[in-house]
Amino acid sequence: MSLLAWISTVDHKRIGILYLLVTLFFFLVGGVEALLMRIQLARPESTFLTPDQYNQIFTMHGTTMIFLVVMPALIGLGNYVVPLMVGARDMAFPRLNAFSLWILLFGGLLLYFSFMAGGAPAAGWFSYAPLSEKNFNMSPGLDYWSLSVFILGIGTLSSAINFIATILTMRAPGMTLRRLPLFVWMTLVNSLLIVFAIPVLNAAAVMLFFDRQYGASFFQAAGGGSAILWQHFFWVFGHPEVYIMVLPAFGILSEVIPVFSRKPIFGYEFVAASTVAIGLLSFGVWVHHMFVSGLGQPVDLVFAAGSMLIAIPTGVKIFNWSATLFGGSIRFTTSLLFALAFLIQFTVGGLSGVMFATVPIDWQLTDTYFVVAHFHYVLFGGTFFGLMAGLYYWFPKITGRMLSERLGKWHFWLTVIGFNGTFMVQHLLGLMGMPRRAYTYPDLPYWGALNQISTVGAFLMGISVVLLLVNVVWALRHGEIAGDNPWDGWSLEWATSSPPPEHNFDRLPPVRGRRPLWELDETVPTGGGAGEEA
Amino acid sequence: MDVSKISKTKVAMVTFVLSEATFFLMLVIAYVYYQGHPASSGEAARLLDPVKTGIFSLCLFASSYTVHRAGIALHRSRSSRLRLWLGATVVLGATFLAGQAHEYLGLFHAGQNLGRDLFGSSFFTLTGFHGFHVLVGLVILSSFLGLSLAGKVGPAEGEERTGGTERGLRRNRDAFEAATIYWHFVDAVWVVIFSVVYLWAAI
Amino acid sequence: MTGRVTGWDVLGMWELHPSVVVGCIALVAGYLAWTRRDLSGSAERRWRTAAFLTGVATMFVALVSPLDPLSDQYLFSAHMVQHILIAFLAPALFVLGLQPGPLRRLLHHRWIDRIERTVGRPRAAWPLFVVTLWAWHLPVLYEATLHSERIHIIEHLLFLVTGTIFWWPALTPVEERRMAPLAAAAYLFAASLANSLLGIVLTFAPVGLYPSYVTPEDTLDLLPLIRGRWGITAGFDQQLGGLFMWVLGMVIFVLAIVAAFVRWYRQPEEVTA
Repeated sequence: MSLLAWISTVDHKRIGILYLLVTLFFFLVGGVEALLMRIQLARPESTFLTPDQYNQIFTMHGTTMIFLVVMPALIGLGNYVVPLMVGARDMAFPRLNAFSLWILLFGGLLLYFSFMAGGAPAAGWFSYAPLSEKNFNMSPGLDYWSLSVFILGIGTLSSAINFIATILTMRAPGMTLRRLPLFVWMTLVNSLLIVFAIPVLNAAAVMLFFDRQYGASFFQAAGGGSAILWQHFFWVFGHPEVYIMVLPAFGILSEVIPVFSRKPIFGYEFVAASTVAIGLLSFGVWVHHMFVSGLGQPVDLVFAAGSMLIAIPTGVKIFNWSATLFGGSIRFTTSLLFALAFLIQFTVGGLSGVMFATVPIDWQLTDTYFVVAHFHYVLFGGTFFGLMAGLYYWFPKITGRMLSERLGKWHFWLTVIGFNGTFMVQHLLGLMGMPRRAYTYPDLPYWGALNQISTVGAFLMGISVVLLLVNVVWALRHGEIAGDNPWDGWSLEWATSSPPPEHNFDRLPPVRGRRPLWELDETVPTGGGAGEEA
Repeated sequence: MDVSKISKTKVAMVTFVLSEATFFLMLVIAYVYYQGHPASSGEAARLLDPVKTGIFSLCLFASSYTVHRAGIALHRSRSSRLRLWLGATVVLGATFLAGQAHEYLGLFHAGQNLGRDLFGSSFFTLTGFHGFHVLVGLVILSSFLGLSLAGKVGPAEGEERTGGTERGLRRNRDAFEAATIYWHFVDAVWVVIFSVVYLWAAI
Repeated sequence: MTGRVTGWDVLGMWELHPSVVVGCIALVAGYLAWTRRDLSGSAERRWRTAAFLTGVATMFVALVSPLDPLSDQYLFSAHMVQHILIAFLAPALFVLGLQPGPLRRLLHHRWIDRIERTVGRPRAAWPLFVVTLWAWHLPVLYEATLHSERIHIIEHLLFLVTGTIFWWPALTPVEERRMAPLAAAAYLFAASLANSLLGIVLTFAPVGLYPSYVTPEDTLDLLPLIRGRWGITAGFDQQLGGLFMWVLGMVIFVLAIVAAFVRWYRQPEEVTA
């Protein structure tokens, strides 16, 4: 396939692959930023990085991982899989799809251009006012930040609109909304979240940009503006955002676990309904990011209650996935291993999150490494592991080759050890009071040792990523031919070749239930071998 | 209500409108939040002319009616009528923008701008983005008008409706309906802005 | 003034306003008379009757319990709870409580049918409800209700009426007049946004939006209890009121939206090919 063909493609499958490649690139960049931070933090009072360098790096690490890796990777994977799963020929608007992809790349490059234009943004990924204002942050970094966040937001919105139009209007005959594969359902709800959350961020980014460039006073106290308003606006976006970053991973789990348990998902309706509940509730708990902003006791109490409530729908899902596994005929493929680790690690992250709902605990632990541990457990231990599960699951479909299960198991275990090694100790550091977003720390008892462990863990994670890349490259050349349906899956993407033809389906099987291929009378075609079959 | 039967273009436009509504909502909130602030109190009442702007607003509201009629004309394949109503819509929309521009110039003369004070920041951001959305809408509608003048919309004069053109017609109508939804939305946003900014300043 | 009024005393401050008592009795009697012809005795008839009676009870309690004096004179937050009962909860129960049989007979009448077809459509019901809700929270109007009993009654009646109109398209037992479940979910969701927005405004507004609650006229000698023992300052009270509107309102709407989804889910499958 010529380079021009790839650059000009409007085919959702190629766009999906390009999304994954772009996010892989930014993942490596963000990972390097993380390693630089971990080197700096390995010893107390280290001078490896200057404070200003450190600030830029942690800001870019966060902004990169959120806007240039996690969100687009989930969207990219969805791009590939969703049209296939609903039996469509492509997304509703293929050219808009291409636009979303290239806007992603452009926005990312614009953000990184800041390094060369006077300095990257250095006020954290959430750019609190007044630190983000011109008088405290004179380098153009934050101007690049607000512009690229705005542009990236437009790309994300375009994808969301595309998904909604595709899922609602382009389903195969027989695929009612109640028969949607859960990955598609989660993508639909997620897209609605994006539609309502991203514009909030865009509005805030615009206001920040106007403050900095045109002397507006939206968040400038000197001009009468309110720094708290930034916090409100940002977190009205920010809280739904964390669900935007996890719902598709929930969807991946809901596909992978049933297939490798040889059982339908337990309580499909509950998983679907709890997703809607999370979507609705996510807009009503944002103040729990602002418990230390002095909003008053009634407000704090109400949001504390709401934040505890929102744990319930997620708990429902964990229960459903566990119940699916129970009594199933489990195949411990690498994909499933990542999914199982997700269950445990995401629960850990969820528990530490619910702890923050208790206001006094939040007052102690906010802005410490406990927060860092929490969100890495849900975003990395959760979403990233979910992405890996999805990658190992759909790689055969995308490329026609199987990834090596042996290398996969090494990758998995190294990631688990590296990840937990890095972040479990950060709970302790947070409890001991180590502040986040600070370029160094004093030589207090155990702080140095724990930080060292964390740094070692981070490098182990780095090695695991290398293993992943080795696996991918090896599989592309020497991987076993996958065939149409190596996992005996039952959603529509397995009813076509691997990789699918450009038009996706030569013939669509009839859809008579939630597991179309299972409902068919014919033997489900397997082709090639797979997994741990004896 | 079977969603799968609604045109994908319409679904996309409604979704887009929802996201833009959220965007404008945040700008309105910022404006309202800062209205009571001493740093900007009285500015709105002092500088804005609800009557003059009201007249220009009527043009915008009327254009919603004309674009609706244009849609009917398209549905009935009355090309000349379509062009008439579309043209009227564009003229009315442009008049509105001209009125806005005139108002902006007046405000600039009075020393108001984005950086002057809280009123300036929030007023110009809110109305500026709205004006931009009107402009985009005018571009879309003018494109339709141009395409219609070039004979590319609807069946050609005297042509039979064959199967192929039927699908093309449906796409035309879907696209135009989407554009109409967008235009009505822009209008609705102005209803809110006019009430919250101009009418409120007057009381 | 002794200042030794306790919380227990407050619990005893029920006042059976004659207008409320008569009104509720009339409602119940009218309902029973209206529905007596349908002697089907079915489960549906029973739960609908229960719903209607609960609605009347809700309204009754809201207006004669200690909530009333607290609302009228002392606490914005208490008044908010009262309004939520009157404007959100009771009307929903009323609509749920209507019996389909007699209702259909009622809709045969030309004028009633006409009214339903205009006012009862979502595009009319929604703005009626939302605008009423917002308008009465304008300080000038809200304060007026606190100083004039007549205006206050008008306000409550309008809440009841527009609330009932609002819930009609979403909850009516007459299937042909009811919104499709997904449309109802969107309708309710949009209303919840409008409600939440007002609640947010009230929560974060600077204290003193409604001056009568900042320095209340202490005719019942409750101020020492409220400000002292209970520790509810004017600022706390206003914030709490905003939060009640926002959160309690949200809870009611979310329940209704979930019910709409369940209704959608229960519909028989429509297979497209």
